[in-house]
Amino acid sequence: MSVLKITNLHASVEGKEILKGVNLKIKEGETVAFLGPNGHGKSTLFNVIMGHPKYEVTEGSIFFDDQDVLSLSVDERSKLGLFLGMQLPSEIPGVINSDFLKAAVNARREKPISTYNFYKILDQATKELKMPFDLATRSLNEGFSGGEKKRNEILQLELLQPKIALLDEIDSGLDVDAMQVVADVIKKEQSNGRGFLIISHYARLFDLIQPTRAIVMINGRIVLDGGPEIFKRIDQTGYEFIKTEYGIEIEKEDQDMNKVSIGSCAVKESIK
Amino acid sequence: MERKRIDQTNCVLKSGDYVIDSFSDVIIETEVNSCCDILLTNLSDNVSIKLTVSKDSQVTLSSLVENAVNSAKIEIHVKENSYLYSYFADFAKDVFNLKCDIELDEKGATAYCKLASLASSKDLKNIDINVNHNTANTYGKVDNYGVCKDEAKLTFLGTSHILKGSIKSKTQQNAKIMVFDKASNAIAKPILTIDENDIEASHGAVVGKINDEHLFYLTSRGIDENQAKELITLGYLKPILLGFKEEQIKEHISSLIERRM
Repeated sequence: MSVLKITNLHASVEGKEILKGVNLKIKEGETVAFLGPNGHGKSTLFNVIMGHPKYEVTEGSIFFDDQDVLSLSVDERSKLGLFLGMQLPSEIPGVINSDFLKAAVNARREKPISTYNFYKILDQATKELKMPFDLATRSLNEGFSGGEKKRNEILQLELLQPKIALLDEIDSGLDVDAMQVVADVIKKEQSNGRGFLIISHYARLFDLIQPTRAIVMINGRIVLDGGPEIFKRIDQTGYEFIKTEYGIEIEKEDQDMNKVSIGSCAVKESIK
Repeated sequence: MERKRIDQTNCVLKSGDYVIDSFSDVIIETEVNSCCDILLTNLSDNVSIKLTVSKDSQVTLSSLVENAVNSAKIEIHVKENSYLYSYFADFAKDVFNLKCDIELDEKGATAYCKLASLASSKDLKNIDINVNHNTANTYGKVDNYGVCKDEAKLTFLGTSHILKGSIKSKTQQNAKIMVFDKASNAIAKPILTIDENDIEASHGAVVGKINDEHLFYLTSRGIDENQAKELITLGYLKPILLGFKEEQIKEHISSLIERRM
């Protein structure tokens, strides 16, 4: 069973440190809910694992079994069995979705897949996701609705069959029915032994797919690691208990706007 | 269906499919209420083509350029309630200078113009596609897509002009060039000249290297960087294939792109 192991990971973007010592182990076959307030580094961690060029790793390591992930190019990480379902998938004009999917499938095969077999699996996967087949013949994500883009991400997950999938707010922009469809596919892939690390702000998706574990990231570190009771509690009460019970101050996102506005006291604000 | 060869310098076309192959100057007019598909191949040097799309007609003009063309002039007049669809696939070597003037002369005249241009090694290319809205209720859209690499120089000019009195007209100009190398030189200058109110006009120009986010997206699916770049570049040029009917020409253009990239 493959294991993704992150040790003391520090990473920054444009000189600003976002990840400040992340330690985490994810096993193939487990489903982990990944929680934390906005702007605390969840998406950054995903992008760093996948190798986005914007992020710079300043310290620490990521290993997938005995492979040093940080030494690999982005496509090699994908071929190793890592997958990132993106929060905002790029729209790429002129690149036909099915050409792209076929290239991605072929990238991990010795012999290219035959056109017939490719369309067979594509047809089956689009049916499962209740996607119109014509999405396959359109430009990649261009003009797709929010929900169609997210389903297209899950479609890729199905075709590429990674060992561990990182899903970044895969449920945002999905209506109730679409959420059920996506959850059904995730459940099927869980039973196939795939591992999941899933960012979501809503308990609905987690209720449907039943994660076995939950982790919370605050201030660029993993501060809580436990059972599914964590996301239930956060869903009901928010993140306040982390401050009161664990004594961790939750840093607020930088606010450029002047804090003093009509209705607030300038003197009080200045002594805060 | 086999295309009819146009071999006179001055002719009136009935509905049908035609080819103009390596021709000198030519003046063509379509019959009223006709539908013509004209293929231009082997555009000769210093050629001048004048085409009139008569009332209630539709013309598709597809042009494949492979050899050096120092100067080509194309003038197209579009008459009442008529449509022009023009497609230029520019894979000319060394030099290509195109000046294309589209005159929307009568109400309901519509012109869509798409161009894909590949400039490599030391190519020098100047593409100048202009649309003149000479009367009210006319519609024009120009999309120029280019890839510029090595030491090539690629320039997209073009003015969409809405003349006085051309109310309710709509015009749009897009020019996009993807630049590959430091020595490449790319200029995109879509210009609007507006002399009337109550019209819609927009233009956009993009010159730049491959978008990093696009590259990350494709490579994160296991596609290696070179292939990802190739897919993105093909995405710039390949939509021009839709302008060509014959499978063998489509395949020929695809292989030209792959060879030249």
